[in-house]
Amino acid sequence: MKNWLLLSLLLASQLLAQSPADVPASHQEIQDLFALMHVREQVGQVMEAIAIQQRTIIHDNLKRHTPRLTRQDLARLDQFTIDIMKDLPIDDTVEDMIPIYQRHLTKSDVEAMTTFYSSSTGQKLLREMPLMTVESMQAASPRIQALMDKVMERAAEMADDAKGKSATPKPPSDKQ
Amino acid sequence: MKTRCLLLVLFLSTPIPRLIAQSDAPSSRDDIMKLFAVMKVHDQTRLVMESVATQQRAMMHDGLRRRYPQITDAEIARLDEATLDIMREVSVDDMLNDMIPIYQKHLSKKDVDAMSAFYASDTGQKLLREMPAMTTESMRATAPRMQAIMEKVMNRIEQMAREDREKNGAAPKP
Repeated sequence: MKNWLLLSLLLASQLLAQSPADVPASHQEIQDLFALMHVREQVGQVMEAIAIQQRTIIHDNLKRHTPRLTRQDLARLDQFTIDIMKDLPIDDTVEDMIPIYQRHLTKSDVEAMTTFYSSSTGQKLLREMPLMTVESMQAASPRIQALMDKVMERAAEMADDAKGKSATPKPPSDKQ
Repeated sequence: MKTRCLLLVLFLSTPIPRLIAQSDAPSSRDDIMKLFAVMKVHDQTRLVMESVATQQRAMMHDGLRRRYPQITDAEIARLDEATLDIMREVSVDDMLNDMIPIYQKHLSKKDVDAMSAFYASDTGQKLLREMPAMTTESMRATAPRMQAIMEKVMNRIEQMAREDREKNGAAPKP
């Protein structure tokens, strides 16, 4: 009797654990969700944005460290970067993301997301969000810039202090 | 007859734009604020700012150590503390205030209602909770691919710099 009760409890708990709401999302379900959410296009856009940002940083650094480089050299480098970007393994990148989404989202989560993102509002949100993000960042940038200026000012003050310190003669014991 | 026909057309057409107008009614400041509360935008903005600050801090440490090798760990720690203090002065509420008109411009009241309903649901809340980890893990998973691309670009830059040095070093001096 005791064994039966234990067995029933075990079965019941297994059934509860396997309730449809908690079933993990399949590879195909996540792939379908990604298609609906235009994840491939979004990954491409993000990669492009990173490339543009990096290009600016690289240009600045090159101009500072190798001032002899011509515009032509920079244009050659840009062309090389564009060529590399064309070969970006976007499909592989999206494939890398699937197991992560499977780990975090259940089948019922994916279903609810699919319902929302299939709706006119969901589709509109996916369409408008990149622009909304850019505009929000533009709106916030003066505040961020002011913050960065303050931090850089502080860093410069500290660097000056450090320079002043290194200019003072060191005691002989330091050299030994 | 013509007048009656016109009246009928007018009568039939009037409610339609009104219905459309209702569904396209612009969202109010209050609607967006409620949506931000459901979506925990305040907390998320703070998290993004912290992660940007961490990233910038690492870059700044590298830059400072390269330019001023004599800088000590204690000085770097002092700068970090000062940065934290400056960060604390930033008002996330002000930043959200800047974002409200942007959301109002892009989203109608109907959109905001639909979004609020979704993000208030179990899945919506779970998504908001899990998304930062999902994004971090996705970035980590794709990092080796991005790293390989960056390495290619950096190798090319080094090659260009080498060529430049050779060109100028080999050139006869006047």
